[in-house]
Amino acid sequence: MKLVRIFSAAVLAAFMLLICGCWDDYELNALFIVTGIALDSSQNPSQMDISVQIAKPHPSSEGKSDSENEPVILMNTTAPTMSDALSVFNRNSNRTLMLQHNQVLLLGKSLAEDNIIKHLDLFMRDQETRMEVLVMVVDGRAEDIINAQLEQDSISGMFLARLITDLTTASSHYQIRMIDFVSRLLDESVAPIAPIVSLKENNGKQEIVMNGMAVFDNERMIGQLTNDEVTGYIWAMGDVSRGEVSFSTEWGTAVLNISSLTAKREISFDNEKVQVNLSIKAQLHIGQISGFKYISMEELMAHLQTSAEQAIRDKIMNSFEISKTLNADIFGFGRSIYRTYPSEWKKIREEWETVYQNLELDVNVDAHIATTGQITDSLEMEEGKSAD
Amino acid sequence: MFLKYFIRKLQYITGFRKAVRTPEETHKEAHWKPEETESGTSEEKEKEPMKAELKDNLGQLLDMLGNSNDVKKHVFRFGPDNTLSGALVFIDGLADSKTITDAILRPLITTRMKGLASLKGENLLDAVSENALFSGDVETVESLSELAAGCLSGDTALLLEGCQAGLIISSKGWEKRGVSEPQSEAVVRGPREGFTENLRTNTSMIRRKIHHGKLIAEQLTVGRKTRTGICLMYLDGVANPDVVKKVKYRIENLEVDSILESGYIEEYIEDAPFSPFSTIGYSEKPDVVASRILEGRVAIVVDGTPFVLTAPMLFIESFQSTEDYYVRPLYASLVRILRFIAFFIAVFGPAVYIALTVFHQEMIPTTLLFTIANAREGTPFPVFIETAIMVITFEILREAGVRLPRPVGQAISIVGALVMGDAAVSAGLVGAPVVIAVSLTAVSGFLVPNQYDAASMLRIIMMILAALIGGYGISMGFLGLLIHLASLTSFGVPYFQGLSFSRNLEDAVVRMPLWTMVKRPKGIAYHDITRRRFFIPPLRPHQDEDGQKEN
Amino acid sequence: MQIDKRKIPGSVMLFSVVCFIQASSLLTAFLAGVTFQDSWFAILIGTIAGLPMIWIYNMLISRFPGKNLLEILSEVFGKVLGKIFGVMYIWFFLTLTSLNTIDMGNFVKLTIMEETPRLILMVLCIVVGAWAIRYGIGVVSRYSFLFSMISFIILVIGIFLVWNQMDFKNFLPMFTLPVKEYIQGTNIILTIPFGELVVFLMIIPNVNIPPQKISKMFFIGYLLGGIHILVVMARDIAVLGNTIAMFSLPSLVTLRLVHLGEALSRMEILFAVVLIMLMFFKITFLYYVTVITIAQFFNLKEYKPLILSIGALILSYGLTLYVSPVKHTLSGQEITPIFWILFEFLLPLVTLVTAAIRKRPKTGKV
Repeated sequence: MKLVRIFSAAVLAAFMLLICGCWDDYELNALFIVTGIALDSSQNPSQMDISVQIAKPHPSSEGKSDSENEPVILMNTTAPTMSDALSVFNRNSNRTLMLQHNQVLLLGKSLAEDNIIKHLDLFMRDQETRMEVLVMVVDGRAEDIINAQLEQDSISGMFLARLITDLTTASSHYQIRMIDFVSRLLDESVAPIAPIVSLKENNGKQEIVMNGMAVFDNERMIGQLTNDEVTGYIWAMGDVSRGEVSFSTEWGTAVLNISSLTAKREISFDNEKVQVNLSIKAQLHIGQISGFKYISMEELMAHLQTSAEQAIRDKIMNSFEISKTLNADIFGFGRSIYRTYPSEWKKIREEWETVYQNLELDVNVDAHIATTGQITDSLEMEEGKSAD
Repeated sequence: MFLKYFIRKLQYITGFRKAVRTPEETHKEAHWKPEETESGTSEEKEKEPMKAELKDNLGQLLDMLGNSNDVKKHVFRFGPDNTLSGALVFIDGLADSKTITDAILRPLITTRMKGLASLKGENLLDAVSENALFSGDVETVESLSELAAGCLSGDTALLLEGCQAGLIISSKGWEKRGVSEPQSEAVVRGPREGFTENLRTNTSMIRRKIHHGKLIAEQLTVGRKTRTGICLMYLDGVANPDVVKKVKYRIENLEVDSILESGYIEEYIEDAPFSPFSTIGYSEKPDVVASRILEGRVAIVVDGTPFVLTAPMLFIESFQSTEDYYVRPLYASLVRILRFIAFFIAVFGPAVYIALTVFHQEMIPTTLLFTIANAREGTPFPVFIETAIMVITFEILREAGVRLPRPVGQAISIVGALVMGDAAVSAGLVGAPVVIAVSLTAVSGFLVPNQYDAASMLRIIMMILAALIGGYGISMGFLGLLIHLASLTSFGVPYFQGLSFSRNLEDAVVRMPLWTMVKRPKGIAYHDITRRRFFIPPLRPHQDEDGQKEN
Repeated sequence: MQIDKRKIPGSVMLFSVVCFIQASSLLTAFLAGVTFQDSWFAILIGTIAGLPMIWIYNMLISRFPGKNLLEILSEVFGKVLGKIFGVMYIWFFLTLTSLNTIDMGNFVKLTIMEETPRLILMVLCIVVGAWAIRYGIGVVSRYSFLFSMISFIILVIGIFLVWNQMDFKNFLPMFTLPVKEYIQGTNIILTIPFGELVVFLMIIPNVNIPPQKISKMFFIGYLLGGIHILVVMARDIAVLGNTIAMFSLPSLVTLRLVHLGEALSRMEILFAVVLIMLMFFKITFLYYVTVITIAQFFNLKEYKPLILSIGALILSYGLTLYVSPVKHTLSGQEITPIFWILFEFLLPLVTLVTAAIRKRPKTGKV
């Protein structure tokens, strides 16, 4: 009897393993690797134009691939939601779409201004689309970016991902992933932002450039910042490790490189008015100066320092004014108030918009110029010195 | 026929039938089916005492030895006036004729012992063995079967007229291989001598490493037809007496026909015959065996093979090589960690590759995924089939490499490398990443040579699990493997400590310096736990005994 | 008279306790939805508040040395009432095992293998666990040290990997939630990770060190496990900020966000490895305790025939417990913690008090 039992147990175990059926296995040559998703508004107001960019695998056994072959496949359709579009795509292609490696989510500007937030639910909920997808707004139609054939990288989705990665080395606040976007959405006072990219033609070649940032409120895009204003925003947030301060005074022009810039906020209340004291500590070094004749080095340093502080302050105040016009708290002051004075926040959270309009921002910059580079005096300063 | 074997195998599994039996069972079995044993007639013959007539004894002895051509007999006369007659029986090729001449015939025939003619029977035999013979290894035996056994081992049997007993004189001398470097265990640093096929040589080599009186060598004989000599060597007082008793009991109760190699003994006496992991270690080098004996293990030397078994064996031992102890500790630790990593790769390599590319593509970085996807594009087979093909091909190549004759070796290696690797990729049959993964796996299997067979089997199981259920299957396979290892014991000692808090940790994953390994491994050694004084640091130059000179 | 007479050393028990609690560090979603950024504080309070509970267990251990829970119950309450409580505990252990198995199935299905039916995943786990149980407590808890060390190391590695994404301002504001939330959070922490330690009362006779040392081991293991959960929660809060309440598996999302260059990205495999290892350990342990309890309750000589049957029972029970995962989460946040207090806190307390009143054990040892 024991033999029969052992034998039947072994047979059942074997069967159990064999009928597993491998539900989850997807051979790589049965998958399309999606690297970019673009959402646009379509003629039909209740629907969207959705395009996906798929990296096309080329068999390596055929030798080097010739550059005539497009390395990407593009698919687009019009559908009310993203899930519908996905099912259409899967119906029309001989392979399953794999969203796990999606690099970037592009929103067309017209769609973003319409009502975008409700469409983002799929991207948060589904396991396949991950939280580190980069969110970007496209000045124009998003599918142009998807269709673009760039010189620098054959797949524009990868290009954008690498662009943002590179910018992140300058400051971590350039990178807006889905999770950052969602985190800002969840907070009722902070306004979500996303970088804007646009397609440019340059001598017949296509280029993608980053062109400022888009500002959202809880439903749609409400405005945008130019690149300058974005720089101000980045500086106000702090945690910068690369950047430039350029200014020109009556004696000459200078470009100083930022090696580190940190920002610290202090919040104080002044009878119903909120005052934010932003203290910035910047470490700079001289990048390029021209002019400044007839000044000695010490005077120059002091002069450059004060001018740099002024320049930084101006830029930040500029961004702040713009954000006031848009009435969007992109800097997260509301969140800071909530964190440091939760009881006060309870009082003012209802009228945050008016409070924000009356917010006073006081920027104190403390710049310090560390090195001057390989040479100390500029060419014009040097000129004629040896003749003395 | 096959069904009968299958049923009997199942009977062994369920305990219905035992391989190693208690003495009563052996007795019962032997007498229950009399026609199956070696034939009762020879038993009766064994009980029969020897006759006094030389002719009868000689005739019977030659009968027992089968009247083959290489059985030589020599009837001679000796003693004063050549009154006494005797006969020599030996087997040509097994016995050294020079010994026979010098140690037996010459002294016997030329003996001038007085009073030899008056001695009879037992006294004559004693007088001859004590006075006349020049040999140091003489034994008196009373039955013809023992004489026959002695002849078959290479000794010479001496029968005397009028004696109901005979002498066995050691005269073993046959062609044997000299001590040479073992081919299966090569080291960069360390002694290069290896065991040979001769039992006595092997035991002597071990004795040369351990010059201690407590090194016990117990001799057993196993195998009805082969009568293989087996020697158990252990350090009395250090080895666990339970283990020694167990080993002895299991070997003594073996009812087998033949023991040709120590692998037979290993299979018959091991604790877990159905496990892929071997619970008895083996080695071809005397310093390895000596170090194991010093830790408290029992060495089983089998005549006819240079591979000596050591029991009990722990899992960790497969990762320790004696070279680790002759090389500096830091480097030895790195190499040992490398061995662990290599074993892990050898078992899980193809499985992880299959799981990642088929089930969990999201865990691979994007650009790497592009590379693999490009490689997958043109290939026709699913990944599991590809990997299986490459693994099987590698096993074929390896097996062929072991068996092929020397002149053909170069050609085969070129064919293997080029054809299997490069051409298969160019033809689009398999993808390049698969080839790389499988070759890495295959090569890393050789870092832990003791467990290579286990690694191969487990690799295939893991691949199947990975192909069926992906990463979860590998995890469950890994956990099942751990559980199996935890349940194994080797002669009562747990096989795998599971890297828990135990004293043996100083020699497990890394090799700590020798002066930290103060105690012998717990569980293997019994008494005499301390093996060295703690912290024997090297003397600094200024601590040297001679003088207070500072460098 | 317990069935399994094999012994395990004390350190193995310590690390088994640690592994048990570490396995629950993956269940922090229950807590994060209640006390958002103060979850670490709830864990801290919970750890401290659990000390009396551990003290009760230790008192029971030292009062009845060498006896496991069923024996203690029958000795203190007499035959009938003891048996009734024994049945309740059998149900408790069975439910715990089923819940953990379902959790494991859910997690694996959600994160790694999305289309495989849960049943297959759970069956595989139970079968391998059944094989482990055959060899007794020694094999079941053999790898506690290895597993807990691996998860500690992966915790430290995880912290290093997300270091540049941790924002300590995410902990603010502190202590602004209504007190009710803290109590609820503390309750969750008390019952789900820490309270399950009551199963260790069943294997006390198998630990071959004196009872005072067992108490010490229990205590140290409890603290180490508590520290682990605390650090995991703190790391998740620092990285995820206010989004932590959204996810059902915060640790997974944290590890997904690692991006130190392209090679060190998509690190969720670390999470998966830790999850499967620890949950397997916990499930096997609970499975073993269930089998032993049932076998001892019915005075059986051998527990081996029961193993696979109880495994099938666990699977079918688990699959039919909750109608939907939403109800499961809801129950996990609100109903289960209060219900478990009965088994983990009240009953041992009552047992201890009754033992003191009735002057048990009869040998007069206090």
